[in-house]
Amino acid sequence: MTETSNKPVQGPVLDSLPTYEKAWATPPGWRKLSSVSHRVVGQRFIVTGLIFFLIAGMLAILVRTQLIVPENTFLDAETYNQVFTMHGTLMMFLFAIPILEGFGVYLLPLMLGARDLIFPRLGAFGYWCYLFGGLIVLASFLFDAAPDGGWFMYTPLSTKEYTPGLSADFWLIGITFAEIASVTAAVEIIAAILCTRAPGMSLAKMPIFGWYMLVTAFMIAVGFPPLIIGSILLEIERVLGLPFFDPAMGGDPLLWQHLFWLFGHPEVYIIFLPAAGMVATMLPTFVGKPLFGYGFAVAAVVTMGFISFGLWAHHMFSTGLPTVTLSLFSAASTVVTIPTGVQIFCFILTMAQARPRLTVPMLFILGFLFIFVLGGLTGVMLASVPFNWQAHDSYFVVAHLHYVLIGGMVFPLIGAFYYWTPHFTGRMMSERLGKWAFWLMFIGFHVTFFLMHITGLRGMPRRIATYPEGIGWDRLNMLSSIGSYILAAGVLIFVWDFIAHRWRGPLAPRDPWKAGTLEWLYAPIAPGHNFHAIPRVHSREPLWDQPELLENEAHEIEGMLRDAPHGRRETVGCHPVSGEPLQIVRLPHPTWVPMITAFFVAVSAVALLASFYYVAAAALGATLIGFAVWAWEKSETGQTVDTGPEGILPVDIASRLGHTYIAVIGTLLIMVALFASILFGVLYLWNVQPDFTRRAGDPDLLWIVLAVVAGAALTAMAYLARRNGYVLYDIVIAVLAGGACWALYQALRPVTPDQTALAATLWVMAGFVAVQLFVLGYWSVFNVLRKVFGLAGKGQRIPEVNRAPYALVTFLMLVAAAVMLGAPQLGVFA
Amino acid sequence: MSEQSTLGQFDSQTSLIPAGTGAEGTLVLTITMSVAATLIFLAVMAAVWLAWRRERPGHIWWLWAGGFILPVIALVALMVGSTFTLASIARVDRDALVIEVTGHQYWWDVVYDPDGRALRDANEIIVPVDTPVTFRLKSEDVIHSFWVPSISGKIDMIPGRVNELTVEASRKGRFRGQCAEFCGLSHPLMAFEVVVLEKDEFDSFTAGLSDEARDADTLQLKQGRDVFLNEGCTACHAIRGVAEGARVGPDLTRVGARAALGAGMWRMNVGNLAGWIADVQDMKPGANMPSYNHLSGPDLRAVAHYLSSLK
Amino acid sequence: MIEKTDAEELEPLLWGIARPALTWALHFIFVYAALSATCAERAVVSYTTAAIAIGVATVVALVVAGWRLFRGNRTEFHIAARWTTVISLVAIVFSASPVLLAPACG
Repeated sequence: MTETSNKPVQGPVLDSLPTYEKAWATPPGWRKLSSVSHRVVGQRFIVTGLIFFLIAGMLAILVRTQLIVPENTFLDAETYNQVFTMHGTLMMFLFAIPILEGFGVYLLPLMLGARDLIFPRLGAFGYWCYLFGGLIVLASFLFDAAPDGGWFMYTPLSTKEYTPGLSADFWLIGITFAEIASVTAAVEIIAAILCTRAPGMSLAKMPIFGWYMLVTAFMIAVGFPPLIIGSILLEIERVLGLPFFDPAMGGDPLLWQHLFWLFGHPEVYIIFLPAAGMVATMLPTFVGKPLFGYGFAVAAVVTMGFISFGLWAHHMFSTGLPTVTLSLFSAASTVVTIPTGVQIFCFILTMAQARPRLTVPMLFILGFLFIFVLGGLTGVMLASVPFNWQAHDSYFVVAHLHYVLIGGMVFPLIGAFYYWTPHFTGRMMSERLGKWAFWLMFIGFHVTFFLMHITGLRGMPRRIATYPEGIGWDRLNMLSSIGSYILAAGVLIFVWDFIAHRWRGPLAPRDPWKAGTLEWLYAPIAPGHNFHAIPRVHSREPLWDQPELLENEAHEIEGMLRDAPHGRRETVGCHPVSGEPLQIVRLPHPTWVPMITAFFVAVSAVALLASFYYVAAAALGATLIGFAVWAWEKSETGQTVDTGPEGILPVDIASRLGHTYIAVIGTLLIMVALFASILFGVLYLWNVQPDFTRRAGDPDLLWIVLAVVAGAALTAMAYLARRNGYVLYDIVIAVLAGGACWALYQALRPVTPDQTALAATLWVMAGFVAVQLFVLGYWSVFNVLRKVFGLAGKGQRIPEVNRAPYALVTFLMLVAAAVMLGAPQLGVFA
Repeated sequence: MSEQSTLGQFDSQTSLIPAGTGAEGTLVLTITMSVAATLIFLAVMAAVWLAWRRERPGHIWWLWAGGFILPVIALVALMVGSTFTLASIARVDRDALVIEVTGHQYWWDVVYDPDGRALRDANEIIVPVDTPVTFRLKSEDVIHSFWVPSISGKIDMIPGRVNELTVEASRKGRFRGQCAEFCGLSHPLMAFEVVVLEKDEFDSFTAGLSDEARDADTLQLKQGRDVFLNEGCTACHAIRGVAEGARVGPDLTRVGARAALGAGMWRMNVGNLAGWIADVQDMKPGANMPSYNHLSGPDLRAVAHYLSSLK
Repeated sequence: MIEKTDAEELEPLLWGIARPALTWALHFIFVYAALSATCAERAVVSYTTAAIAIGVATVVALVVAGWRLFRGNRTEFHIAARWTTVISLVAIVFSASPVLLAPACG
């Protein structure tokens, strides 16, 4: 019994196509919604992100209009607070990351030599979660419940006591739902970059954009969990009254700030890096020479990815942290300038190799250099603690953040639109309109935001709906507002060009910019498929160094895995380091399952918002069924395919080098980061609120030990099962998982979660481990069913190989939780 | 004491014209860093321009210099300069005068000599010039931030925590401060004024604080006082010698002497007082005080006159 | 430069990138934990203990991060490994400097 996603698309027009085109055809008409191909999913992300950008930009115009004169009554305070909160929220969560994700999803397979992203249904599912989550957040306007606590929702203002309505819940539930997209994309990008490159493309021959996206994906995997945990804790506090952030019950409002900024600071680098990666890709094209200092750039990107996690408390310099701690974060914040500077100088030295062509994308790259460097310098100023004490929460910070975000992300993004739109649509955008857009944006931007440095130093705090007349901010604000209208005009010209070029723009030739990377191999007439045959790659700029690629018609070049002989979608899986072909990866055909599953998650989210808890639980159950339907496929491990020049390769191997295993490792990274965030919360509260340590009852030590024993046995079984996939192992693991959950619950029953923040956090920690155990149990039960119904036979053990590390990591978390639960009674950590 | 309010007074709330040692030290740092940042920016843009015109590969030492050596030098200089400035402005002075300020939505509760006589006031802070003053900062509800840019940098007021900020005003005058952490609907309307006096003037002020409020000596003032006592105002507001103990709202003992009303937002006069009492929710939405629009015209005028007389 | 990196040569270079960066991360976590432990009200350890522990951790981190400095420019990844090491070493020193220079929590 095979699942529909293995069957090619049917229909009369499609029947007449050759097998390869038919296998990869995008379903026509409304059925296009069932497409999971990376081109379609990537474009969905990009277009949806652009729409959110325009909505958020309009909100910004409302803000600036309110501030154009002092004591203005254009917006009342309540509306203004909603408008500025939604401006920030939409821009940061529903525009910046998704649109860059869209470019990544679209470009990476093309640049790496793959026919699709590695988990197309996961990418599609992520998109629908993003769309539905974004719609939920936007819907809050309809209920006059738009979030109004600032985009970082500080507690206690965002707790039930001070924000009694649903606005904060719209934010917490909607945004967490939309974040699923980012987190699933992270796993997918890691697996795709490591496992689906063209033969010969070792990590050293990978385009630099691949390195930028790989580091970004790891950063998302580690950086989003603190926010997810923080949001869950705040929502639990609002709905169930567990006092994580209430100082009277042993909580701390600063815990929210720590969790938020542990996410928030890496977030801005997550936004910067893909954009810088696009600059690093476009710039060499216009210079006609490869990127200068590829090795330097790789080092800079990796170190920036790591160091950006050590800066978070520079958003908290005025909260009263100890001076030596402030100095630690100040030092780390200054050190990150070094890898940033290295990248900028790589770009400058790239330009020095030859006279660059001044096209519209190149203009936006120059704009990026100007604006981002200035923004980076004000950032270094803000890293100085005494200066920060004056500038924090003033318009100086507003100026800084817009310089680095608009300079470092929006300008490269518009340049990327001008550069890659011919790939989406087959037509070039307008050079003339592009230049107008650039100059209006550049000038409007500086008029708006440069003055804000002065406005902030002259004492104007941020997030104020109005300001008194005559204190000294009147003219500055008026000029900033006028500048914002000029900036908006530039953006509108770009949008018009983007829409109108589809019928006005000149047709694009093959490789219109004379670029070197693989995405330009085919003429940009946007077919639904990549690479009739996947060529072997010898260089980082294959189109420059391998002339046979451009001298022949794209569908005639020599390569492996020519066409699709069985009508099945497949691409080559490679060794993560060397890029040598290792396996054939079977890919799904168009399917409705991801969208339907995401829809049930949306139902669950909306039901939670409306307090219909039974509906929410039922929808969650439907989601689990959706995942089961999704994975209900006959295993193809053991088959082989003759790829031509690269010989005969196995299909879907069960190995630690395989893409599913690497995806599991990526997922475990996220799970560990989630657990670590909870652990941080426990240790933080224990350290900072000593009086509340043992007030709410002690966990039952015996049950803790039983849980750990069950976990150990489960892990041992999971490792044994890798060798022989006996159904008995699955059954035992499922039973042990259930037993360990039960034991954890019994261990915690003496502890009342709403008595102290520490007790509540211990419950969350145990609850998280219980969820992991549930996953293992569900996995094992599903395995049993697959074997019973003949979908998995002897030797087809991908689930067993992948489950073992998951069990191990779960066991380690269980041990850590057991230590936290048991230690106070044993005299340690009293 | 009831001089011109800083409301509308040009440059009363700016870090660029310092009136305190904290702001002075920070301004030196600000100017130094701004000049350095400008020079670095121009140098990098010059490099971009040179690279644009050049047509052969640059040498690797450009990357070393621009991406590593110069940044390290600049960053060490910044850390040293910042630490030096921090040490000079963030002094903890055990003998400093202590003033406790508690942030509320949307006003400031001020207590002079909190460990001794605990003299309560609100929304206006009097300090002596050239004397270290330690502000003990708390919050009763959400996070606020205490910021007088002319005098020093800011520090947050966080529920469950006491933060301390030691400042020293260096010249006399009136300076405006404002809450700098978004705290709700009327966050833009939560300001305050700092009045810097000579030391002897300050001492006589604090000596006078423990006195009872000025007596109501005319008929209208007596009527106003009765309105205050009978209309429920005493549930939240205290006036020494008239109604003691309530701490929910600002202490009104010397409310008439304050130059501004509503936490630094409107000029203190009878008309504004009347408008405030009658319709505070319109002037400051979300404030914890209900609008007293059921008062009759004469009653309203009387209580406004009474409060205005409390100097 | 002629790129001759093959897979076998690449793996140690990749570790040469990962090791210094991971060492910085672990060192930073240690410094932050030590400072939190000494400066909070609970004060599980004294400031001197924390400073000494951080000093030792810093020496260890510098050795672990820097023990192989991949000399030569034979391939881009030699450069990448060397520069990751250099930047990580600087970052480790910057992380340690506050506590080694400040006499107390503050």
